[in-house]
Amino acid sequence: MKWFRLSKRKVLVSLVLMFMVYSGSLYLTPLFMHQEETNSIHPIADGRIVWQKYNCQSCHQLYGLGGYLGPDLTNITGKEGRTREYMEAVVKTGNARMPSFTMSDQELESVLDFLESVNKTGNADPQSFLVTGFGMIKGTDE
Amino acid sequence: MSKYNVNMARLFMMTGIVLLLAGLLLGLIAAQFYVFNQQTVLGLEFSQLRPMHVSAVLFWILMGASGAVMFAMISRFERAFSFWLLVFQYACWILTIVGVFYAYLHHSFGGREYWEFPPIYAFPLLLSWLAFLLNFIRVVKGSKGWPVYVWMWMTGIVFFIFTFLESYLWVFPYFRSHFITDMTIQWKANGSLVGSWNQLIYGTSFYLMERISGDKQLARQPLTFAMYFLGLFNLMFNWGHHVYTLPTDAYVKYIGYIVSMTEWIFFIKILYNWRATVSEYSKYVHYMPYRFLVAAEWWVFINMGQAILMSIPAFNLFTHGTHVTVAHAMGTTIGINTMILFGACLEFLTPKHSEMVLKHKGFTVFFWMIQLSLFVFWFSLNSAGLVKGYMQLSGGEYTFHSMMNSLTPVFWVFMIAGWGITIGFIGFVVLYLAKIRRPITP
Repeated sequence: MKWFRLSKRKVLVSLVLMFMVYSGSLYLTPLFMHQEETNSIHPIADGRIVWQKYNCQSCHQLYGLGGYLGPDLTNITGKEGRTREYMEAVVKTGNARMPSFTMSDQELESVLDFLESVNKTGNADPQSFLVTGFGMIKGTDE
Repeated sequence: MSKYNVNMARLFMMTGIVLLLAGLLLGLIAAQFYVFNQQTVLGLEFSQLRPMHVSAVLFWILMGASGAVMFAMISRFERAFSFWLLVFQYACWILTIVGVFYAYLHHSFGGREYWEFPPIYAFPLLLSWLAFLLNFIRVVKGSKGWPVYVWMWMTGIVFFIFTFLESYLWVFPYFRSHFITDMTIQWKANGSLVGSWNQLIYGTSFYLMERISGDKQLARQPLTFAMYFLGLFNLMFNWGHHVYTLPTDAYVKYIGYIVSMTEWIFFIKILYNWRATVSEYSKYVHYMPYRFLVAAEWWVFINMGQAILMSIPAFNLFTHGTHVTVAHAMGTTIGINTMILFGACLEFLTPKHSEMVLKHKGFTVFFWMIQLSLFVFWFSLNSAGLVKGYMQLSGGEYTFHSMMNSLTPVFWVFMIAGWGITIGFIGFVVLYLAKIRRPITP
């Protein structure tokens, strides 16, 4: 059948259409979020802006994505000894590798709230994953 | 063909090379932070140097590729670019570059990975690409029977614009407010963004091979187009391998895994064609631009093998968040993209009557300095990453501080190898400028 004959244009159009559907499915995901996930909207949205303003991602990662000079901060607020006061002190005074940051009180609140909200989204520790069939992995809390 | 348009294409490539050299030097300075415990180097913090290095090399890739594509199209198509659109495109680039580096020097950020600069500078960058797209359409409109490289350039430009816009969806609170979806879309955009400029670069590689060998069938064969569509399929759907450890939807990860494994087809094809590649090499090995293309072929083989392994989730668990990722990023950006573009710049910028000067022994010395240093650089980063991966999975035995301290000797090797790459490229360019004097027409 003539309409079924493969042509470069048809292949390209098919791929583009599939790509748009796939992209659209991701863009619409927030519309189907559960209530408990929407409770952390403002800390996430506002705190992320502060995170970007001070370019924290140049040294730190979230879920292993970012810079490698500093540690992954996804679950930093859930670690023993990492109280809010401790983290405020680190941000304000720095350490051997990390410079100090002059953030306003509101910005500091905001970025710490952001990290607390990120901590609640899941566990980024590679040890918390299991290898399943065909080389796939699954988080132990999934 | 308009000499003004040719000169604009040359200007893009030369600006790109300046950015490459700047990016290499900035990377060298940034590497100091890995071996010395300090907060600033030359008065600059890592949070400034890293984005300066990333932006410089990224802009080299984008401007170099744009210039190479323009030059190739000027020689291949009868219709001319609009000179004033080219000027507008270049002006937008200069505005972006000056603004971005001014912002970084003044600790002004606000963006995300690859685009850490204040989002306002995304506007001139976007305008430059829209101008490029308009000019591209102007030139190709009405022409038929495109070789594969024109398809690749078209998809590269269109997908760059789409994924660049997508990488700024976080500006809208709707996306930014939902962390996991936001991260998923961010790394979808970043993955496809890389794929888009790869299309521009691999298309340039195909054009270069046609030009060097004179074989016009290479870019028109059905198998070549099949590989192009497979590459496009990966550009669109394989990005999920960036987010295996993110608690996002499972279908994203499964699609990323399955599509990434289709890259075995490319890997096996390279192995299958190895003998033909080797015999072709002996025909053109004397020609310096061709040597860079061959070097890129080797780096494609090495990096693709690494990438395929990294795309297996069980292996990715070991390498994610380690320097293996950096090795892959640097190995591909320098080993593949820069080799192809540098070869293209040599081919397009060298006057016809001056080709013989590229046979000077000094060029061969610098060429091999770059290749060997890059291999050591890539290997040391992989070593650091695998050691860190092992330590991360060792039951909490190691703190981050102890991990980084134990890797310091490897970081020294990485930094010294970085010097080798930088000296190699700077030496090559300085020698070239000393030997070459006149402008070129295509």
